[in-house]
Amino acid sequence: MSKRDVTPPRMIQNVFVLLLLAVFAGLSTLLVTMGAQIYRDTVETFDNHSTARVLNSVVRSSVWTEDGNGEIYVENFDELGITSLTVVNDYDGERYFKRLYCKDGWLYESFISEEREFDGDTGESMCEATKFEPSIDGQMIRIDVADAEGNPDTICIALRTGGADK
Amino acid sequence: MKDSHRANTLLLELLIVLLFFMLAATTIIELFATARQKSHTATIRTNAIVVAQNMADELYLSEDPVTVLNAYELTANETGWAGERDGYQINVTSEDIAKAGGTLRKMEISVVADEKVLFTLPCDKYIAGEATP
Repeated sequence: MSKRDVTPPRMIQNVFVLLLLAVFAGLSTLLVTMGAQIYRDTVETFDNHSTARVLNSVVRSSVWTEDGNGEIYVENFDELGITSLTVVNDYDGERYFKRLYCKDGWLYESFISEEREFDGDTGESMCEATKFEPSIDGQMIRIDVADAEGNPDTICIALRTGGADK
Repeated sequence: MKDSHRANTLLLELLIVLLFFMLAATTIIELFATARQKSHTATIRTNAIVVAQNMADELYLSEDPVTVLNAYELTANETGWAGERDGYQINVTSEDIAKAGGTLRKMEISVVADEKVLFTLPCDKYIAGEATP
């Protein structure tokens, strides 16, 4: 067999090997891209869930804890541009105010005594929220909230034992 | 001859690598699909919990539960009320139990997705009867 007769099949074989390598590289890239996309989706969804759940549970637990005292009301701080859901706690004869409010895209919780003036900077950030608008209608507290992406939601909480002052 | 043998070995190696890659890819894609499904179920569960809690609180305060259930677009059926929402179904059952001093209204909100009950939320209310001298 001459050298010229052997060359064409080997070339085909080389091309086939290269093709296989290309398929391998392509599939690897596809898999990594797909994995990254799914991972990003999952993390994004998780973030949205945690925001929704934190918003819901923080507000509900704050209200339910102090429901019996009956001192839950909506406070407007026009000069600060803040509307807060205020829950009053009594410890050793001293009054403490827990305020939930939205500021700079975050939900804050502030817990200060009545001796300190509320200025909006004393709170701790809980989770991202672009809207937190509480209102009280009789025994029903309604809070219009929105997460970081602006997805709106409403939280309704019935006061079981105490009443609420507007 | 030696070159041809080396080329065949390389080809065989590549085919084996590709085979293992395919096996790994199948497993990974299956895991991705499961993760996506779990994420979807979590979304449904989160939305449903907020809606069910809101509904329970509104039912608790309302004198007329039908108005509340209608507001949530639930329709009456043979077992209670039911309504389809985004990816899940809400079922509400109600039973009035007469007591000495009034009526105990036992309500239960259950959320079903993919024919599986995600959770149930009891919502009981005691309606005091009129006092008789």
